[in-house]
Amino acid sequence: MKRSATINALMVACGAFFITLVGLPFWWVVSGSVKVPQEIIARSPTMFPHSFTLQHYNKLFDASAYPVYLANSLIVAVSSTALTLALAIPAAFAFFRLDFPGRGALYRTILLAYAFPSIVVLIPLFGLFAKIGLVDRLPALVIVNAAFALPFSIWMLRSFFAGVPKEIEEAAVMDGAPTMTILRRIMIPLVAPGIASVGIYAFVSAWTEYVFASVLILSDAKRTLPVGFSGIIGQYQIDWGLLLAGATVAIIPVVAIFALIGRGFVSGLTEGAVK
Amino acid sequence: MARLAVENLKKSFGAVDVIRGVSLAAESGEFVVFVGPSGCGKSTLLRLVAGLETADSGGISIGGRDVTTADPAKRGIAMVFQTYALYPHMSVADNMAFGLEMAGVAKAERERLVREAADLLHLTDYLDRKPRQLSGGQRQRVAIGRAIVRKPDIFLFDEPLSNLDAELRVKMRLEIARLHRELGATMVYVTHDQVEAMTLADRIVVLRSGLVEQIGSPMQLYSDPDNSFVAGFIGSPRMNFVQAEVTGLWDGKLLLNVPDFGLTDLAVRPRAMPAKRPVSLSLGVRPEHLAEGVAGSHRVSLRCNAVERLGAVTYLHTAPGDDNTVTAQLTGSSSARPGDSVEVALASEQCFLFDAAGARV
Repeated sequence: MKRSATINALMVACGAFFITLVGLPFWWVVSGSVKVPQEIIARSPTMFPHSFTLQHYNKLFDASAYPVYLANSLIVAVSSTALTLALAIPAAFAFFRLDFPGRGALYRTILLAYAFPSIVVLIPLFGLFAKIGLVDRLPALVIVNAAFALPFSIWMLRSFFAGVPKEIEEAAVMDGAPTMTILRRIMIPLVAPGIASVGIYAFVSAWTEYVFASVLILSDAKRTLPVGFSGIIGQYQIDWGLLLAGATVAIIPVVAIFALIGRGFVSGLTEGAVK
Repeated sequence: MARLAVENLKKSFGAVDVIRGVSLAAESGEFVVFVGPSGCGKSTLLRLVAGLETADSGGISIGGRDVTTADPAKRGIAMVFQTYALYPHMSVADNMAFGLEMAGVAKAERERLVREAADLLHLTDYLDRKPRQLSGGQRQRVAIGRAIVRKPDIFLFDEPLSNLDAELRVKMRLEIARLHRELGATMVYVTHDQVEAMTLADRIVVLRSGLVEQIGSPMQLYSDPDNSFVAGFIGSPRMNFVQAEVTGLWDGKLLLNVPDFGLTDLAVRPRAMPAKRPVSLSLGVRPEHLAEGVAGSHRVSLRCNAVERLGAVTYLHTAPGDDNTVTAQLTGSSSARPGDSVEVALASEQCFLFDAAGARV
């Protein structure tokens, strides 16, 4: 298909606009983190750093609790992702494959849970966790994050399971594979792109979760990045260099996870299976 | 190999009766083909035998063992799907070995069996490849290989060639026939392609609307069909049906006037003389028996409205696209053109008679 030059130019302009819209703040944060404080707060902002310093990073890692928050956040995000996947994969497969009474109703109920704003359940959850002694403990955040990521994850994985040609599963049945073996050996490899998407979704939501982390965690040593970092900013003054360096470091795990499991997004995994 | 017997099998999906009481048997080592138009229930019947669907009533036995409610894997069968259904993330060797692994066969034995099947199917060079790196024909051979390694009592094929192009289909058809000879296994094969049915089958089961219309050898169905459906379905191009008035009896034959052919007193022997002389019947004659350049007792003049030249033969159509069109087989070198009147020979002993309900008379 050939497009006219005008349409091409228009599309390039549109693309450039959105790249700028999304990319500029990132550039601002990353480039700002290596500027000296005077340049960051200079009246006329500089697009490209005129100075280069790692002083903010030194301060971040040596003189603040940032490394603790970072470690807490990593523990919570990785555990939440693992728990979400460990529960969502079998649940989605069960909703897709098993025929049990109340399947439709239960499935809709799960999706309904997704519609609740987190703030509504915040106080009751706090009471509940207080009773079982989970307040001020990281597992509380893992449970909450997984619980909130699960409805969407199950819904998404179920449609990925449904996208696997029925015959492949039937061939495995004919080969004598039990249901759990079919899930493990056949279905999971085939829905890898879906698992990758759900994994990224669960990781990013846990990584950026603020409300529960700010209420359920009381001691400073157990804070996650979003909450802990907001404390670094300070009540009366803002250390912009520290803020930008912290934000830059906070982006890294997300970028890394996209690079790492983003490969799972490859399409055409079932190519050659049927037809 | 084993004998497959199906007894009064019934299956419906909701309000739709898909299989309405089918009984049949495939003898040990026999190649049985289920054939019929789309929606006739042939694939459902195969899936019932495979255990991928559960029968509402009736029974299925394999090698004398009742398997009506047995697990698919415990029936001693292997199935080749229309869409190959290979495991895309596994190599050819792993695809073929998966069923053996599930059956608890030791690794060394699995490798030996896979290699054996790969040799038989000329897949040895491809064992390490993934399905996506194979051509359609190779993929289907892998699917067949996956069935072979398990040494099943019965092979089930669900339209295995319909995704392949015409040339490859002919090649694979011959290959399946060769496999049947070499393995000597009972094979049940579903197709809507009557050429596949005719060329592969020891016996054909013609199905329509969930019922068996006729079971017989290919030539039996061709030369002695029970009804107009079977007569029309088996044979290509399909049989011509024209209206005929019964005018009398002579020497155990019915005398017919056939206005479409301009014939009077055409004497056709019925399969069995009906007790009451019918008024009108449907006369069935195959294009190859309404042919140019062959001996025949009657001459019929046909108006040519379309010509299909296939090289060796030419087909003449009187009303292309119309249900009542008559097709005649002309010689390959025939000079007939649309608009011409062409004279062909009709042999009355090659004609069939059917009543209004389609039953053979």
